[in-house]
Amino acid sequence: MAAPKAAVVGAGVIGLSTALCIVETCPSCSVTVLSDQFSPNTTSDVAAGMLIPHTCPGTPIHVQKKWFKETFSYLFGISNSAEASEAGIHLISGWQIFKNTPKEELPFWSDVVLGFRSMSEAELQKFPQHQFGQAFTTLKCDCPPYLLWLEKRLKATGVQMHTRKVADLWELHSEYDVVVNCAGIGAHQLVRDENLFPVRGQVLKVHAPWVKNFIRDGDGSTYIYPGIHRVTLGGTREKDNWSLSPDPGTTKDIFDRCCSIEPSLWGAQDIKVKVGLRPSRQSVRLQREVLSQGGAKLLVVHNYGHGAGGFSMHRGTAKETAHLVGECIAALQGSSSRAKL
Amino acid sequence: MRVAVIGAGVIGLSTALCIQEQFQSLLPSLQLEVHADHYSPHTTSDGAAGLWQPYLSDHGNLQETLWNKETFDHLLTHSGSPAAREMGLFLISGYNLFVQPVPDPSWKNIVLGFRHLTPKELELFPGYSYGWFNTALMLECRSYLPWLTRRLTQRGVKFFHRKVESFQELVAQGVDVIINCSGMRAGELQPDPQLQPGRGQIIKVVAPWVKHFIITHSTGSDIYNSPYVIPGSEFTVLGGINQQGNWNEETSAQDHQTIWESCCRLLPSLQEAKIVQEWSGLRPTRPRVRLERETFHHGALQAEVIHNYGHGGFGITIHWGCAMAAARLFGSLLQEQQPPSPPEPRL
Repeated sequence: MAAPKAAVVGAGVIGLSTALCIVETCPSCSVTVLSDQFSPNTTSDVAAGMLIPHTCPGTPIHVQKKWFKETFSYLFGISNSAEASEAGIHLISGWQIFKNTPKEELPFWSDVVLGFRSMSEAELQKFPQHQFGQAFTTLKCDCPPYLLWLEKRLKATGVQMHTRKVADLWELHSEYDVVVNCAGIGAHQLVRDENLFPVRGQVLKVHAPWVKNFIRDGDGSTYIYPGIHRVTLGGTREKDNWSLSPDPGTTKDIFDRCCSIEPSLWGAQDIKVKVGLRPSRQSVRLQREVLSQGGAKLLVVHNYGHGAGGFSMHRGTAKETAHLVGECIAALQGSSSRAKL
Repeated sequence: MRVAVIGAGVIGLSTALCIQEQFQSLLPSLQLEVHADHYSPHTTSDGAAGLWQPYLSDHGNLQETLWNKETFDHLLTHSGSPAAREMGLFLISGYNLFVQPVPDPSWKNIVLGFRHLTPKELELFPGYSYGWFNTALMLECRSYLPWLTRRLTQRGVKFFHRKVESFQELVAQGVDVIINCSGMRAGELQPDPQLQPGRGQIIKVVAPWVKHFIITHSTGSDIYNSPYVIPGSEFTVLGGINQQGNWNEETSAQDHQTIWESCCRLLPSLQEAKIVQEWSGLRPTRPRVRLERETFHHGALQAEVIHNYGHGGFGITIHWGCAMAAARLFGSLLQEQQPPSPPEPRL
């Protein structure tokens, strides 16, 4: 069999990191990335890229923890290297604060992030409306830098990237042996997954370089995430809202909520408003599928539906997907060598 | 009553403000002035990164620890106010790194969230086996000094741009009280062998991905003679030079190499940082801060002098506590000058 050809559909953090993992684990494979959008126009570009997991109801905790841990370790290594600034990866410390003490004492990821502990009374005084909090240090992946860094590494290994809107996975069957579906919210249309729904998020990206710590309300509704050049203020979680247009009333509401926990933000300059649709699902769809029409077959590996946890889990799910791609290629090579007998 | 403050660094301006705020209304005749040959951005204070952090040990000097605490608490209160931005004041977290275990510092309960580093965190810093993490404050003088100046100007304080050569020249002009905040050059006004320069040099870079301060410490070496990285609101300061007795204010190429190499080893991502400025300055080092009154005589004239200098590498850290203490000395001076109250009339 000639070098197996894989197409990765989607060029957000999931598509690009998955393509990179495939290249790393299957060096003989020829990988092409196909997407209608590339950075800075992907859903990933809107996200702050904070490594703070969201619990997926349908995925076992030990699996989510494994994915998060792999992602954290991978990025930890990059943050500590000369490439950190180019890759947009940096350490950041801060606080998760709660108006009411949460039921679960320790989130599953508390021993993966650094220095996790409860906030002291003195620290909580900064947040008079909140009674409880956790302090820790984690990592942040700034986009576009992280996506551009992934693209650069992919190109260096010979991976081709094409702007192309794939309407149906089957249209790729004659050109590729394996198709990896990292279409994110696009999977709703692409594979007609009715279980995938958007959770609309509006954010503000502001210039406030004196803000060095993150602050997140434990209910997930309000957050302040300082990035390399801008601070991301959020947010909203609007289920089944497909609108990508910024809403001015929402902008004011986000700004007010963030300023109430960090008053110095009133001085923030140059507010840019962005909207992204979190590709949400009960659980991440990470599985193989065989499509067939007539006598022809197309091997597919799905890796989408990461919801609010794309950055937190990306490397872990990319590795698992690459493993499944490896299985697909082995199966193809097995059947092709059997055909020779 | 003419009160002249010598020096317009963080000590001079904050002391002027404390005295002004506390006594102007009580003493309508109070005329406060600032005399200095250097103003922001050319003072020693402007060269400092602005991190609130005392030295590791207070050597039993409880007074200085209390002044440090007073300063931190005062700044923390203001950190949530609308003025914070304008003052150049904001919270920052970070690391202190050691090559061996050390006792906790006197300020562990002053800062927020003080704790020891976990083994995983220490993996970030090869060569260091022990450390602390805490949240403290930054007070950037290139914003704070102009902010103090604006407030002083609004309240009618006069500023003079000149070098004061001696206390007598001010006394001869009619100054009643001198507040001596002359920092490194206090010895030129009155010899003080205990005051010595602690020469520092820094490199300012653009590295906005650095969100934590990192201060390293090495055994047998003076504080700040080991690499440190302190991110400001616009630039990140790299340093690690503290040469006792060196009066040279020129930047040295060798010190530049030392700072650059050691900081890049500490934080490899700095290799990509663009250098925007180099600076060298002298920490006004003294075994203890000189904060005391003295009566100065010049022929038939005399004036009261309140000394407030010798804050070494912790001027910003201690400034408010010292300014308040200097204001108290001023208050006691005023009390002594009160005429005795007339006797109560007998019924």
